[in-house]
Amino acid sequence: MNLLKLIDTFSTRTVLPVEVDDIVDYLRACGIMDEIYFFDADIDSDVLQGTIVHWEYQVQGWTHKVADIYTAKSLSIEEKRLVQAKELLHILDLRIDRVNTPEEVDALITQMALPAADWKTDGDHARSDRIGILYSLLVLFPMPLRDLFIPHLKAEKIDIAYIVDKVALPFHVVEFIVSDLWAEWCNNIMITLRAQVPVPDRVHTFNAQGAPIEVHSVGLESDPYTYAKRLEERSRGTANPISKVVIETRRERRTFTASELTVFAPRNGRV
Amino acid sequence: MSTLEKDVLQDCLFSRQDRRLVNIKFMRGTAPIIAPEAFRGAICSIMAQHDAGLEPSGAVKSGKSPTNVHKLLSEM
Repeated sequence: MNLLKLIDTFSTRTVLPVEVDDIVDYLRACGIMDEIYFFDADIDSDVLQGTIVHWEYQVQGWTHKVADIYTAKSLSIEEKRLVQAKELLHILDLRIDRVNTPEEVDALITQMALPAADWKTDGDHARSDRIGILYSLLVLFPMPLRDLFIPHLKAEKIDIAYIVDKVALPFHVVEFIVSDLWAEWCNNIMITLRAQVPVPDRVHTFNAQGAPIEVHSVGLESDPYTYAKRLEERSRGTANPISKVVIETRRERRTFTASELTVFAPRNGRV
Repeated sequence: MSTLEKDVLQDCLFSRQDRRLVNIKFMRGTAPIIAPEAFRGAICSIMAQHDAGLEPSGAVKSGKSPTNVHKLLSEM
């Protein structure tokens, strides 16, 4: 499950408005079982409009994840929909984009407190946070539906208020979405997202005669070297032990003998 | 910002043994200038409201009837 797939799926919709619960249902259908709660919080929307706090709880030896999404009580329904959708999509954040240490939280707050005009000083986490609103627009007002409205808008058969009524988003947001600038941004965002689609690393295994045994696709967040090491360990004493592996990642293709794998220690220290 | 403010925020997010923060993200407020202290204060306030028993509200509903946009616009 990734953001691109979600945006592509909602692009096939014919019905507006997209409800926040539609996104939740889609995440559920894709196998995301995290508990998701929405709260109206008494906070100053001039300071903070909303937040997602994603936890992992340990209860009696079990781990379960809970996403708490808060929005400022004073926001309008349209604004809340936008904030809730934006925060909800952060459930799909890649590990690299997640903020979960005191230092990272502190840096994110310092950067997010700056106005949008200061984006150039943003770090990766702040950039990921700010761009989340644009992803949510692509889900709440899919581009193919937006494009259907444009000729009628240009012919002055409808106005922006008419679209606002159908899409249930704030007026100024819809005003931006029907602009040519958004069409251009959207195109760039989708190109970037498609270029980021992760390709799984692969581990090719070979026996002592150099004949291929199997090719494994490694889970997207797993370390291919550790994965190969475990494969080699498991094959010892079997009829067809692994003698050599080729590890193929986006960056490189490296060959390891079984003995090289045995002494291999990953840089992050996890085996 | 004072060490105390940082400590309070750290306590809000990292003090409990039974849970680990996986991710936190924000939707900035609309004020042109926001002090990081105010931002931290808002987060701590949210955590305090949660711990005081804030009830979930559910996802907000648009209140609009679903409209088939293709059909609507083709009839225009």
